[in-house]
Order: sequence, then C-alpha cells, then structure tokens
Amino acid sequence: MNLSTVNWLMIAVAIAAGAPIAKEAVTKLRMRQFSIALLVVLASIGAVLIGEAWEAAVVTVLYVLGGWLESRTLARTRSALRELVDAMPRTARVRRGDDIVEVSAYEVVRGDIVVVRPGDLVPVDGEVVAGSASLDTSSVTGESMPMEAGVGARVTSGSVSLGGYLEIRAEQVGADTTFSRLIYLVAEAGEQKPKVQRTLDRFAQWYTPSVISASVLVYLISRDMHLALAFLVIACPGALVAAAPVAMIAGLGSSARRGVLIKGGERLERIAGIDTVAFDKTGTLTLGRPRVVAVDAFEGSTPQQVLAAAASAELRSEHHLASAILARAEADGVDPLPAHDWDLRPGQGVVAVTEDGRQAAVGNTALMKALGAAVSPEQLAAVESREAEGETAALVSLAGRAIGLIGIADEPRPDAAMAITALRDAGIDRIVMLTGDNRRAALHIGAVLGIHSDHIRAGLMPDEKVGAIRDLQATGARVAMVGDGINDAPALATADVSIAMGASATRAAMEAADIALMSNNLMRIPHAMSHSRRILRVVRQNVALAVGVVVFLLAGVLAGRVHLASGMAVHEASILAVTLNGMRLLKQPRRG
Amino acid sequence: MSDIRREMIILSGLNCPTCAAKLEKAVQSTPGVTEAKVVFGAGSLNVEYDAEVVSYEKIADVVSRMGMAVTARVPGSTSR
Repeated sequence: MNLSTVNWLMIAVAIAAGAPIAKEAVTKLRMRQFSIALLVVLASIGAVLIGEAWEAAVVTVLYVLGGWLESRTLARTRSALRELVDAMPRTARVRRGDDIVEVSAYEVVRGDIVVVRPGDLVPVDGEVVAGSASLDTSSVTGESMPMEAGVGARVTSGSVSLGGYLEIRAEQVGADTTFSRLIYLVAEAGEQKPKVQRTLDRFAQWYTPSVISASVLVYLISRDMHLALAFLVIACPGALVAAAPVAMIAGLGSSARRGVLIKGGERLERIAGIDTVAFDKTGTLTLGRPRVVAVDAFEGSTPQQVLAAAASAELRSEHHLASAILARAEADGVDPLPAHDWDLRPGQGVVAVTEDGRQAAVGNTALMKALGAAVSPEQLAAVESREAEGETAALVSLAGRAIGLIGIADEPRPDAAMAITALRDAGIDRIVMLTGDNRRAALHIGAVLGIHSDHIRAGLMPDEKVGAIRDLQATGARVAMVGDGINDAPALATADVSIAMGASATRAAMEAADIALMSNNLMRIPHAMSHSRRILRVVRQNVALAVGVVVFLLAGVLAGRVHLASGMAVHEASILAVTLNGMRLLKQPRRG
Repeated sequence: MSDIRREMIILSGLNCPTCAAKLEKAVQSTPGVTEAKVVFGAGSLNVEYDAEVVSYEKIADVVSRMGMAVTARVPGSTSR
C-alpha cells in the first residue's frame, strides 16, 4: 500500500464515521444549534484539506465510539432511577359496581376500591378494607421482609402482592402516591447542586466562550489551523458539566432503591460534616408500640374504673400512649365512658369530660397539679418506682381525684444498639437522646443502648427539643436529628440535618427531611451517612478530574503537544472516566 | 381556563450536557409550557404545562426534533 492508498482509506473511514455526525450536525443546525457534532465535522474537513486525513478518521471514529460508550455508561448511572420508574404501577383493577375493570393507574380516584391479586402492584396508597395478603414493599422501603397486610392495614403504592387477595380504599392516587413522590424527589435531589458543583458551573460558564475566542485569536495570529482546531475540540467542557450530576444521580438513585431518600445539593456537604446525632426516643429508638404493663388502682377504686376513665380521656387522642391504653381496655373488656370536650395538653396529658359531667384525665404529676387533683406521697412513690423500671407512669384522675396509675413500657428496636455502634464507628462523636418522656424511662433505654447519661435530655416539650438542639449547636456541634417527622417537626427543622424515619407513612416528613428513611430500619442511618459521604467524595473526585483534564489539555495545546485527535481522545476519555467513577455509587457496601 | 399538568419525561439520547441546556430552552419557549427543567443526571425533562394550550404530544415532538426520545412518563402532582 502506498501513501495515497492509506490516505484514501483514511478519508473513506472519516466519511463512513462522519456521515451520521454530519447528519446530526445538520439537524441541530436547522434548530439553530451550534453543536459539537458540527465542530467535529468542520474539524475533520479542515484536517482532510490540510492533508491530515488520518486525523479526520481518528476524530470521527473517536467521536462515534465515545458517544456510544457515553450513552451506555450514562444509561447505567441513570439505571437506579429508571428501575424505580419501571417499578411504578401502570394499571389498576378497580371495583365498579359488581364489575372489576382494569384502568390506567392514573384514572383511579380517591375513594375507589382497588382490587389487588397475587403478582399485582399496589397502585394506590390506602387502607385495606377486605382480604389479606403478603406484600413485598422492597421497592419503596428497601426492606426485604414481606409485610402481612390485613383489614385496616395501610399499604403504599409500589408494593407487590406475593399472594392473597386485597381490596384497598384509595386515599392517595396517581401522582400523589408515596411512590410517585419518591421518584420525583429523587430526580429533584439529583438536580440540586452541592457547593463544589456550583463553583464548577461558574468556571464552566466562562471557560467555553473564552476558549472559543482564544481559538479564533490563535488562528488569526498564527494562521495555524491545527492549533486553532485543537483549541476548539477542548473547548467543549463535557466532563466539567457532567462530573457532578452523573455521580449524584447514581448515588441518590441507588440509595432510594434501598428505601433511603437523600436530598441532594448542599445537604450532602452538611451531612458529611455531622458530628452529633440526636435521636427522639419513642418510636425512633424504641418500637413506639407501648404496652400497658400495669394498672394500679388507688384506694377506693378498681383497676376497671381506672382503665375506663383513662380510656375515655384518651378516646380522641393521637398520643402514642393512647393506643396502648385503648388496646388494654379493649383486651380487658372495659368500655370507655362516653365523653366529650377533649383537651390535649402538650407535655402534660389529656383531659375530657364524661357524659355524666365528670372530668377524666390521664397524664403526669404536672397535669394532676394543674387540675388540682391531690397526689399523696405514697402514690408519688408508686409513680417513681414504676419509672425506675423504665416505664412511663400515667396518673389517672376522675372528677378531680387521682384514682390510679397506669404503667406503660416501650421496648428498644432490635437494631437500635447496633445502629448506634455503627454511627460511632462512622465517626459520630456524640449520640444524644431527646425525649418528652420522664428521665428514668429515658435513662433505662439509654443504658440498654449505650447512650451516656450526660447525653440524655428527658421531659422535653416539643419546643424544648428545639432548645436542646440549639444548645448543642451553640457548643459548636453539627447536629443531625432523627425523628418521626410529626411530633419532632420543629426539632427536625432546627437541626443541621433532619432524618425522618418511616417516611413512607408520613408524606410531609418525606418532603421536608434531608434524609427520609422509607422504613423503620435504624441501620439505614449509618448507611445513609456514609453513603452521603461517598457521594460527596466521588463528586469531588470527578470535579478534580474534570478540572485537571481541562488544565492538562490547555497546557498541552499551548505547548503544541496536544493535537486534534489526542485532544478529542482525552476529552472523550475524561467524560467516560467521570461517568464510570459515578457508576461506582450504584453499588453500596451493605452491612447488617 | 387552564389545565396545568406536571410531568417527568424520562429521555433516551440525552448524552451531552449542552444538549440538555438546549432542550430546556426549546421546551421553555414552547407556548403553553409554564416551566421546563432538564435534569442531566437523571436524564429527565420535568415540565409543567397548560393542557388547554399545548398537548403532551407537542412537547414530545420538540424532544424528538432535538434528537432524543421519550422512554417513560411519570405524571406529577399538580398540588404542590
């Protein structure tokens, strides 16, 4: 083969690879877009004209190859989000009269009765009104253990029925379901920019125009087509712009698939800086399913009377102790007295008026004092001895007289101690417990979980939890607060980072929190924190890499060492490198 | 009358960040579109539009004219 054959061969390669690029360039030009494809075509034509056909061949082939590799790897980094989208319910079986009709999941309206058969995706958030089934909730909560759902159970969209039959009354439908919101929040989080990215964006903004003008200037001065073209190729800040977003979406998407929604942006930097984690106790460190363990009647009353009075007062209460008292009353066959005028007193208890006009109340000694119900020293001692056992002791009064005492206990979650150890291993210096419960109950749980008594603050009203967080911040601590998102909303809002648990049940918490755990698995907290740090680390690596490549290319071009083909190769390689690096975040080291 | 809808449109072919910025501008300048945001990382176009003025098909058309394709649609909540 002589030189001209090689030359013609190179031109043929350039035309074959360049044709689709030219087509792309023309399409975009019609849309009045000055595209990279156009740049490549112009550069290639220029290269052929100055007798460097091989360069045209290399540039076009690299562009096609690079584009293909990029789209493949980009699709991979986006796969976590795609999998969530693919797991979205598309259709629903709805009961219409006697018929069951299949409709689009977006046509279901609130109040519809939705039928779920084995293998079906639950298309709505709602309450089970008939049947029972085993549900795989993993695509929402990340938990692999199936959930047994029966009448009265709340189910979320995106769960899969493994067997059984369910009829669900739709409460949240279509775009308003937990699952739909989750997908939106993940995509929105991916769009939030961490500080490091915002700095980079400012850099990229002036980078491209200045390099393009530099290339024109270089040509005008030197008349060196080569140099000018090399400048143009490196003017595209591909890796600079892609560096952070690809890593963010891979990281945030993969944790969302595991039931941990991390909101992106500068929150990542805040999460990485956390040195103190404050936990709410009830429902967070504990199961939040308090059981009545004792009903003590004071002189002149019976346990049944105590329970009946307590149940009447708690009938309309949302308080976590209410369900325990009502459950015990039901189990013991004690009917609450019909009542009205319920009055919830935060931090004290609840008061109501029974049908026969007597005042029934359940609460702490402060409430009894406020109501003028005398509590004798012996009765106080009974309260204290229950509290010493880690129980919550609620005094019950009827018609202004203390008639008894109900002991309620809540157990720590099985994974709580492990999660606290893992947080300490992850470099969290201080674990704090904030609770509205009494100090003895708090110390009892703290001792079981290994939380130092100096770091336990008990008897706090919701606004005092805010104060407790502020106190910690005043000592220079950067505090993450873990809570259920309802009672703890003010404290969560005050903390540097808010972590809401069981967010699949509380939409507001899911929207507001910096980190939302879709399940109640406490081990997800250390995972979320270390995963956030990994995301930030990869983002920073990518930014450093992208900036490094740009500096290297600029220097190379100026030194006359980097030409069109090698510049293009390095450029494509750097985009690939940041994408591949981002892809690492799809895998999460799983412990526990 | 207006019928505001939100939608997340998952795209294929969104491979360069500059294309993302251009698609965003093109969709934003489509009459009836009140908000458009292309999220490069996610590969999605988040759009809010008045269905009385512009149809989803019209938006999808803009997407395909920019050399990209729609692979999935996620209707969004209109109550924000």
